[in-house]
Amino acid sequence: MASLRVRQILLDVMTDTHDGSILPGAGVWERLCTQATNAVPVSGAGVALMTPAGHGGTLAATDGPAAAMENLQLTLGEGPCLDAARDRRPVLEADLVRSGMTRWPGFGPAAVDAGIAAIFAFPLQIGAISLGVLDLYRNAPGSLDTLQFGEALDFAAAATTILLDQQHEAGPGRLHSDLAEATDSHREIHQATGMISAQATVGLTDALLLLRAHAYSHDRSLLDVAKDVVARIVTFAPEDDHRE
Amino acid sequence: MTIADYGSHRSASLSGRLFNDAEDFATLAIELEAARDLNQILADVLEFALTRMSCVGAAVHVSPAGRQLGTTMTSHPQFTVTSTDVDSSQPGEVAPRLMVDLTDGRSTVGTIAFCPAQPDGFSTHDITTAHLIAVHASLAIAAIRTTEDLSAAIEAHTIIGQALGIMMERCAIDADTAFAVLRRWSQDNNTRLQEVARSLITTRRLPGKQDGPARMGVR
Repeated sequence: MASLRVRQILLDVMTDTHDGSILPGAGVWERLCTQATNAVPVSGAGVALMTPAGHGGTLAATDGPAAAMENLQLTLGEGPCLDAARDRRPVLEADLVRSGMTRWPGFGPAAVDAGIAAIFAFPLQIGAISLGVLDLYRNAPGSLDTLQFGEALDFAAAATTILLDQQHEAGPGRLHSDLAEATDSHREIHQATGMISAQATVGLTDALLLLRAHAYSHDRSLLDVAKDVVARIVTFAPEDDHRE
Repeated sequence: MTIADYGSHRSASLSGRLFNDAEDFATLAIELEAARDLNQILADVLEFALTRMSCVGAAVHVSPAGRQLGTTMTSHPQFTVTSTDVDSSQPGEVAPRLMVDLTDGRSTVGTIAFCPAQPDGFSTHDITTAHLIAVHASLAIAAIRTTEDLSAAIEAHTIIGQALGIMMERCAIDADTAFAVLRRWSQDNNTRLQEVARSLITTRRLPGKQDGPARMGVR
């Protein structure tokens, strides 16, 4: 079912020794990001798991703004990867400065600050279920041409195949170690959400919003604040404000 | 469930027109990849069989696997995977049905049954087509089920984490202790960890406990 190009990508990404320029010890997801960056080409790439509740953990990201791109979307709860997963279609923003600021009032300016000028998000999906997103960014504005768009779609198809392959390997009810690592990186966010829900007597959705608002207003990452909540350095009172 | 109940999203290009087999199967593969869920896949597969084979009816059964439910779909209500009563309106002897297993590379995931239009059974070409249909169906079923497994496993991490947070706050315990408590309740009540967690989130108390959350303590 996979096209020849997708098979070639899988072969390149899933074998360790093919490309000497790859860092030793880098995993399949790091290689996918590196090779997508070189092949499309773009400035950098990231792959994240997605759940109906939002960002499910970053599988890999190239150095520099790509990691910031994933963290911002996680912290803010908005951005192209969340839109792509929710709408189950690619989100293409060729000029973030010109049109991304109103599209994503929180993510847009912060992404521009991080050095991102254009961003392209491709859902990793089977049927009605979005499992993740491949995010590509450029440090200069400009859209993908037809060939580049096709190449990006092929990398997204390869990424979906790898996800399924890893899950098939792990078996039902379990997670492959690569995927477990990504979800475990969010452990404190889930725990903090539960804690805030009990502290402020609100539902889990509102608890996550409180956590997010605190992170945003203190210019901190969601994960950092969540760790402080778990360590009981930051607490939330029932009347919706918080103490430190 | 029958394919008429479920409806179909198959493209008009498949109906009536003669393609060669390779193009037909490429179209089927694209349709299956676009299918929203398991039932849509099964409906597409059966419709393909009725269109491309000399076949008066077809049915497919997918077995339950782990926590995933099994399902059955038929082209006509009177035709099931196990029934021998195929179509009383057909004159003459009914030829034996062709049954093909669906496998995911590890085990059999289901069976698809085809009822021939001719009393002398299917042609060699139709039998080949039936086996190819089974391969495409197997791949699509495996992909959608693996996707559902993965999605559920990620969701379980979220739910368990949130439940731990609620316990950590209510009982003033750390994450490891909360996890030990949750796991003990899961074992004592023979309930899966994520179900205990889900129930705790919904009811704000541990399952089987009559006491309120204030009593959610540790030994």
